[in-house]
Amino acid sequence: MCLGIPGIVTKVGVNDAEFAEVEVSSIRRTVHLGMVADSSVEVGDWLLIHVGFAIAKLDEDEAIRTVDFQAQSGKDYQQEIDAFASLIGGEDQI
Amino acid sequence: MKMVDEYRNPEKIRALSEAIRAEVGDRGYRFMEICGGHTHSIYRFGLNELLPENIEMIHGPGCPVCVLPIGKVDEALTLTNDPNVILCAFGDVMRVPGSKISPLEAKARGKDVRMVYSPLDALKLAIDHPDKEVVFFAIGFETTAPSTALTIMRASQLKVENFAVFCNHVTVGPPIRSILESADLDLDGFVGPGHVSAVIGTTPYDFVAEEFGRPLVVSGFEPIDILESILLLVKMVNRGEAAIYNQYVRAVKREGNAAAIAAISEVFEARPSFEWRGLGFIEQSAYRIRKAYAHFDAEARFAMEEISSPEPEDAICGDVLIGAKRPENCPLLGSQCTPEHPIGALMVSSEGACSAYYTYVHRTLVATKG
Ligand code: SF4
Repeated sequence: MCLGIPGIVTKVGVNDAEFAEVEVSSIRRTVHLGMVADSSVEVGDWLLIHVGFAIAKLDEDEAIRTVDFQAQSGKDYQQEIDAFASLIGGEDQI
Repeated sequence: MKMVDEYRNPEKIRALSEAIRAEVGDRGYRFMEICGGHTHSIYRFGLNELLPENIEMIHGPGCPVCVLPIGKVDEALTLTNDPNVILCAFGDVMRVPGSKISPLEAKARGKDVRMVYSPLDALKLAIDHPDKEVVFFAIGFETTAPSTALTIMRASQLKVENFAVFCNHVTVGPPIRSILESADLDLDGFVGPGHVSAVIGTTPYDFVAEEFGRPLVVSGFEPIDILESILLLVKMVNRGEAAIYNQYVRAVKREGNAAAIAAISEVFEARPSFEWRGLGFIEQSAYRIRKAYAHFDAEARFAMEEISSPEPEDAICGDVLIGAKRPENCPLLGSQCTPEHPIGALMVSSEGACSAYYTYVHRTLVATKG
């Protein structure tokens, strides 16, 4: 569960400025930006996502490398993606 | 994919393992990898095999579900006796056995227990079910604690009355101190955790070098990261040097993540003492919710009582957790305890030493023996 998964920002300011939409392995989900609040987040940026929160900004090389690394671990990455895809209460996030 | 290859390039891996061999002296080296993510990488890539025999890697307590005492699962499950309560937990937590059943089994028996990906999902459930009490069973080190803190701040801001957190967040420094003080393990140095350090930075480890004279290298998770960190440790030990070094500069800054640290201190304060599996009670090693947010504190709201539950018979989870024993020493491994039917938490999460050993070593051994 400590796996941080890289996601690419597809929309900023979802609901309010504290959230952005990111895409991980073709799945989109809203994430909280409270921990990366000191840097600007724009569409196309890579974020390290952990339990629905962006914990760090990543440069593209690091993000691609991490995605590849995790995808090779098979089951664990798939579990994380499945969890990431599980939306409670539909598309609408708080 | 040049960058990808760079960290798993077999030639680079071989060169590093040779550099380590050339560097080691005529002595033993005992290093602990604190984080379960590193344990997982070490088994998955067979890094142990690449190291000279006189380097021993010892698994540490950095797997959040593994350090949770059984009694905490029992405590959380008592909440579900109230039909008005929805208990929410991360996927890994769902499968951790309590003294009788796991949260997943409680769900199968009709209790309202739900798996969530994020504490925000639990908050959303509370908003969608104003007639219910939603409790989030929070666990994790400093990587996860800020997420729970920010969720509580959000709940407070939105005035969500029916949301609470059963807070079991822990901190990584105190168990390292406790392991160093116990002296039994006689460690020469540490591979420091990656993502925890992205939050707290590297200064909280300074005491390892300053007070205990041991080196620590914060490391990334790729094979080359880990081997590089081990090489650095060997060099420092040989020079009699103790320093805190950051190998994982691409994600970790010395000062950590200020916003995350601020969220933690806004919502949480240190508990005087908290029980760890295998390590017993450690002072100032966990967080509880501050009075200002008491409304969101499940322990206060539901008058929860501490339960202390014994370890399952013959299981050696506690000893494995602190590196005193190895997974292969457990009589239950592979027979009674498997990832499908875990008896101990170390078999639940992929970061648990027993699960990593079972998946990458035990199964292969059994297959080759026929
Ligand atoms: S094999 Fe199972 S019971 Fe034995 S130490 Fe590991 S988790 Fe505990």
